Amino acid sequence: MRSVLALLRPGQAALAIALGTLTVLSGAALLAASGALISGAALQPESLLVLMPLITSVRLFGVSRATLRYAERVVSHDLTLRLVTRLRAELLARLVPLAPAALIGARGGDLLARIRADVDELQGLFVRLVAPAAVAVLASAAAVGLTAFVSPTLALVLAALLLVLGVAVPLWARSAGRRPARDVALADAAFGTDTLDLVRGLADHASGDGGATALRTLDAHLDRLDRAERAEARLVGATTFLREGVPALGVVAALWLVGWDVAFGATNPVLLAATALGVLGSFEAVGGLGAAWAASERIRDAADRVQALSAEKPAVTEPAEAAPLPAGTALRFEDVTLTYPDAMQPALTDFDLSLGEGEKVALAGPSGAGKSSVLALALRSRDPDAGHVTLDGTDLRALTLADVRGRFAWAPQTPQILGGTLAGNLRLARDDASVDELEAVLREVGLQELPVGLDGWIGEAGERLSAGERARVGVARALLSPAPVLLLDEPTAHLDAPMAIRLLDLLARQPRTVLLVTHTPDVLDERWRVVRLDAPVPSVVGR
Amino acid sequence: MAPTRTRRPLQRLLALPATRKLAVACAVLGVLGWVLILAQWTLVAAFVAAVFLRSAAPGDVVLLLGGALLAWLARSGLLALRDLLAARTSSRVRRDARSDLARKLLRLGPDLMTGERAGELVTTATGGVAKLDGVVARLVPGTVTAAVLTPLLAVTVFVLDPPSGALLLLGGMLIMLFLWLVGTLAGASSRAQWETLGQLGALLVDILRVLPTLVAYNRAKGAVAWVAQVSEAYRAATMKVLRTAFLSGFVLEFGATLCTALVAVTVGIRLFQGQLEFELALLVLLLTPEFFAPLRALGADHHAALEGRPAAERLFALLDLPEPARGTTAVPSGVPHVRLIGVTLRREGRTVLDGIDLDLPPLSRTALVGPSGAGKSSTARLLLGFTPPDEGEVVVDGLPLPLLDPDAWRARIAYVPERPFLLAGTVLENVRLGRPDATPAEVERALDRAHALEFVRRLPQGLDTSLGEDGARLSGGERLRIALARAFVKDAPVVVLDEPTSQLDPGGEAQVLAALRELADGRTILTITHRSAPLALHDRIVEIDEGAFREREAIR
Repeated sequence: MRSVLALLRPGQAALAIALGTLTVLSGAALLAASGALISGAALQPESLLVLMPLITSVRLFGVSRATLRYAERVVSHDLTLRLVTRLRAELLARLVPLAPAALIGARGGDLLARIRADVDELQGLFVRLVAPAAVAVLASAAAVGLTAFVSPTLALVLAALLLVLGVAVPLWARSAGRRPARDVALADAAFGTDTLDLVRGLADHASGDGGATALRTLDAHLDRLDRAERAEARLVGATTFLREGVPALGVVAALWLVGWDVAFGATNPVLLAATALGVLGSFEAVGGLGAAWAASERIRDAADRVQALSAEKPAVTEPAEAAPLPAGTALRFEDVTLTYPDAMQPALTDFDLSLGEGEKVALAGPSGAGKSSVLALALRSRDPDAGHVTLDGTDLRALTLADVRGRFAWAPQTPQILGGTLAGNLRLARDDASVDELEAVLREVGLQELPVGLDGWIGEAGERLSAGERARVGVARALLSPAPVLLLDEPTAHLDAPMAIRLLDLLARQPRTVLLVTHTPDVLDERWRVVRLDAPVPSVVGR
Repeated sequence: MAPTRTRRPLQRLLALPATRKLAVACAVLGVLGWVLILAQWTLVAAFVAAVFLRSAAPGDVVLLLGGALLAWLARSGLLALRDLLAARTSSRVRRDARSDLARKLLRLGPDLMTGERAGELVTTATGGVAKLDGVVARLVPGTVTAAVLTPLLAVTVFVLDPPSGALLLLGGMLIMLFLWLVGTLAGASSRAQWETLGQLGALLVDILRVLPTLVAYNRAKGAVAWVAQVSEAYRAATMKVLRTAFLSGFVLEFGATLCTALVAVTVGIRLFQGQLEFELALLVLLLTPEFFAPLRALGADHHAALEGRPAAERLFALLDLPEPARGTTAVPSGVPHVRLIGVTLRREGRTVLDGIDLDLPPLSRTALVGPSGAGKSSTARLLLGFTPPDEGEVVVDGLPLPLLDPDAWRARIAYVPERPFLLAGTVLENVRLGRPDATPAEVERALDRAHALEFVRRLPQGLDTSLGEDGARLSGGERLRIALARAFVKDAPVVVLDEPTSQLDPGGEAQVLAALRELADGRTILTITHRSAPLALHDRIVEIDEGAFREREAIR
């Protein structure tokens, strides 16, 4: 939570807290002054002028409270939104180093739930937690201090009651609310993830069992959510009772204690109603704390999850001292072994491969032989457990990640298309590509006649394109990139034979180095060197 | 259902039986609360007057104070009960909304869902529905309490002291007027804010999904900056909404405190002039904040519910989407005879299929081949009833497909899509998607026939191994064989395979082909493919080109 608090602007926070404190005190002062005014008036002094200071105070406090409250709200909400902006950016920045490798196991839906729900929850950090707590302390101290002038005993009682309402009740509510809050968050996240699953696999669910399994799972999450919310509702009822009931004790104590003082002539009688009303008003200082502490567990859980994310170790790191980027592009894998973290067997064992500049190499072999892992090593999505991958003689691990990735253009097996336009997706590889260049590269991969055109909406994740078209967009993107080495993972899997042959010919004609993963090496001509990865290592599922 | 269609979303939310019951309960609690408020402050005023004016010792009038305390605590109990009921009702309403949304999604089917943005739909089902809490748990009890308690208190004060009563009535009415004006403004900007939020959500989901590619092209930093920029725009937009939204709070607060001050000053002056009793004056002063308290709470409740209205709009817009008609006729038993007659399908102005005929007699084995984008996959969706044809019809044993119960029909077809979707659950759960009541032994048998048992047994927990999101760590061939096991366990008479071998290497292909050969036994098969390998399974090949079909050759 501390790291999130550090994102708050201190000046703005102090201003919001000061405004909040003055708002509470204005309210109590208005009530106290009103009580004093009518008491004073009932005694019927000789002149109305005697009452003028009280009349003026009543009018002043009547106006100041609303103005202070408005200013406090604007300041604290602006503060909160700035916090959220910085949180989002920071969270994404933390995810970037994890993105190529460590995130494959984490469920995307879970990530989605984290980033959105947790950031939303953290929005409340200042408005619902920090500000009410600070205002409670400051306003309570002021109210108790002022009461002590009238009756020190009453000041003690007031302090005790404020502590009960501000500390004891919230602490109890917090411990009682801990479990339901966690259960709600878990059930909520699970529901979100599985709804996303249902949306994505809708065709499979509908044609599988008509969605019965999915609905059963979702209903189970909703049942869990309901149970947790039932516990939370009981807590809400209890805190409401205490919030409304404890001030009654304060007002009754004020009437009793000051009443005796008045009866003994120790106190000005005018103060009886004024003090009782002032005490009533001062409970506003802590009235909101019950809800604040109930929310605190959720906020802390969210902060913890966000924190846990940044604690995850990236699979690859920048070198302490970066070597200069070599001019050549000869790529070598020397005795490389790679084992995925939760796999039982290595994906690659003592793998050797050398690619000269401009060479065209195809990796073939059965599923799970580690073909895609070779590409991951070149891109430095992962580092080998043993052996070296070198670029023109320099170990990749000695180069900056940006330098390595600048040398390779990658088209994954399932191309990741950004929602938006074709142009936007292609320019991902090269910002300054002109429309002519974009059209040329689309022509090369046979996509010149797409109805959407360069600037049409291709749908979320490019869903308005077919699988084959998406694959070719991935290849076009790699071709457009200025990188001297192309890494392509089964670019022809979704294509019919003539298109596949045309695309392979296009790649073979490239002056650049091409490393291709393929299932169908038989269609490759003599321009390609085919490397077989025959060690049939079974692929293994983790978790 | 027709009359509710025309009602506004918020009203529909309020018209739900659970919400109405809550409103009635709040009204009853409001009247009881009024009685207790009167008792409480009358006793307090009497106590103060006795001690202050008549110099009574507090001990002599202790009963007044004890009575006040009891009434006050009883009133706290009523409020607690109200909050508890409101929270429970809100849980129930949100639960029902989520459940309805999930069922609606399935009835709409994949064809109608592609147009909707998945991120937006999930946003509505989770965050959007959560925002209804502000309406049900806050706005409803707050409004009802204000509607019951405020007039009762105004009348009470009016009876006690007409000038103060008039002041409260005037103040109260002015506040309501301003609130309505400000509320209308805030409502419009709140809708705009919801849209920004939705876009922001979609943007984040999108960026997370493609993060590996962004990283590979050194573009991740730009994406981070982009998100920061969009979030900043969101902040600016939201602050604009909030400045207006807080205005309603300001008006309430200002009106309430100013009226309290005015009552205190006018009552004080009349006391000074001897026109009023002290005890009565004090009671009026004590009741004034009580008159404004529900109105002030209403301001906060209104603010909490601001986001609820657009959320309700989105929710009901989704729930109101027209559904494809669902037939009710039972599906004929046995292996059905399926025919596509003169089917035309258009998508975004393009004719995908142009008046095609396709006859799939029982136990036939048909391969549908053609270039990418020629409408092969659309044919599968037509057969499953996901997509209704623009012209022509799909006929099952002489019955038009729309007449049949779609769930019963889909239970008779095993569909293996080009990229099967795997649940995040275990292997067992994934295979059971084909038939939820299949026993583990039946699942194992199906995996065996799909040539998948061997690799499944090597998994850490065998059948109970969790596959992770969308089977992230399975190879294309392994995924496909799990999907084939689904088809085996389903034991449906018609099997539709969409590109069953496109993601496979030759070794994996041989295993899958062996599985396919076994699957084909005793069933009607339609295979969509652009590769030659699976063609040997079939007894005829139909070529599709430019939206038209043509029988190419008969193998046997």
